[in-house]
Amino acid sequence: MEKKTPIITIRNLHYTYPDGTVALRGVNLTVFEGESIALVGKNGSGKSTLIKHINGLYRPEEGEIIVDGLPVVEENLREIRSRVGMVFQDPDSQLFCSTLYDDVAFGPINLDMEPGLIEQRVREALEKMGLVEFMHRPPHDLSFGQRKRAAMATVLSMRPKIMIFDEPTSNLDPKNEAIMTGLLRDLPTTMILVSHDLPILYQTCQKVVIMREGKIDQILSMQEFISDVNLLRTNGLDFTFRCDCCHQDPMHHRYLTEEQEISESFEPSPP
Amino acid sequence: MRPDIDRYWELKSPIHSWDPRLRILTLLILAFSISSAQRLPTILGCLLLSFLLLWLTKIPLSFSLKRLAAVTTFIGPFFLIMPLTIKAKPGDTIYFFSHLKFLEINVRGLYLATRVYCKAVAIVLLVVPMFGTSRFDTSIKALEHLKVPNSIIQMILFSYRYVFVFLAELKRMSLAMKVRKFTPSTNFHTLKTYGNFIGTLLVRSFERAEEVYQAMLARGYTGRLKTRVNYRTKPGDWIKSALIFAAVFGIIYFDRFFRGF
Repeated sequence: MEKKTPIITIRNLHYTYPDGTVALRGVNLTVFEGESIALVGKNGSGKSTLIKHINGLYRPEEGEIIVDGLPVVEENLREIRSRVGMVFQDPDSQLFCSTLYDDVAFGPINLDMEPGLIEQRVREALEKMGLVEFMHRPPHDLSFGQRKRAAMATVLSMRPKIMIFDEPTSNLDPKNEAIMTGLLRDLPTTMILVSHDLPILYQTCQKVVIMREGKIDQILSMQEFISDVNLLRTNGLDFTFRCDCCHQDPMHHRYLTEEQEISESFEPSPP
Repeated sequence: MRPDIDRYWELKSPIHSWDPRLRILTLLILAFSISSAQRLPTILGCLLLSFLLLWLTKIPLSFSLKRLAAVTTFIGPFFLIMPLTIKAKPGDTIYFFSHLKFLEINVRGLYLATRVYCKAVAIVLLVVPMFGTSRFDTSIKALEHLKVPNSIIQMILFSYRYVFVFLAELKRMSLAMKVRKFTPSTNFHTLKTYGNFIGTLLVRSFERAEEVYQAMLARGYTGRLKTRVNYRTKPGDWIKSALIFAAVFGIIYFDRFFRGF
């Protein structure tokens, strides 16, 4: 039997925003190495707050987080941020340098890598994202889809063991969404995906963590999750059209080919 | 959102190849000497020197002239206010309007406004050779080498970053107003709308700035800017600085001691 190694352990995590909004109420979660997890839930359920704790952007009010054997505390932040990469929803928040190269090199430079290694990491990340030809262009000259991939490259260049994505496909057209899905599927890291886009979650994650009112409500396998239409709807997932188009039988889609999955989700339903 | 002043950092010119640390220090001293100049001929000479340095950078003049528009907006009114408000001294030339006797136009006010404007233009023009000839992070790093306190460096860095965030939000929100047929006029509704606009803009910009900062922290930013730049001062850099220092002494001498005309 294969032994799983926990890479993220969250115990009894509580967090309240300075304005008094209680965001997390005792979250317990273990993520194992190599897992791809879909973190779902309605808006305001605490998903974004939780992922920001894993990178150390927020500090727990109560409870503890252990990432790859290191507790998330001030003295470990540098190491933790080199192991946990985070891609924000809006790529413009992540791209602020005058060239794409500088943006992708920002992380490796902060990790004090050797100039030769930085060059290599930047090139590799951009090659993986298909953006090498735009290396010396200012990020604002890229299309939105390219900027999304560029934001991903800025994190990939740090080669983190864990990657967290906040809505990686939001506002993307079908072509770019398909590209992004392919890229996410090929990532060899442990992955946490926050998204309301079920097709991408279905294609990239094996496990679903459902959050509700600052707590982990359920942890299911992807198959269990997509079989429950009510669960999909209560968690605000963008799958209503497909549920309706096949008369409330989501199981139908489990037998579609991958290409159909991608293309059908953007085609109008037949009359 | 993109930093703009370093748009032409890749050009090749004697100013671009100047060690950023020496360049910033030298041009800063030049800027101070310009601000201390009192006589109009000296100030006009400084203006000429600023244009010369700008020409040496090979950066299109239109790029710098755009910056002058902001200076003109602020200092332009001086041309109107100073001749009308400056206290008359013996020997001043004053013009009156026969029907508007309370309006006195003092020529010395006009002269002072010209001096202020020319000095401002000469200094603003220096900003481009100073910060526009290397990448912004390189210039900031140079400031760090020049022992400028880290808190000031961070303030400059983030102010510069967030100006673009602020402008992007401004554009988005004005578009949202336009598509809903908002037409400004002189009424309470317009005032209220602009009030809401500014308030929301500040809140949104703050939120966006916070996210940009978090994105930086998430990639290992610890409050100190790191770059791949290694500074090396060549003899040519010292010569360029020496030439500018000679100009500085020239300005001071001509302004304070030379009474030829």
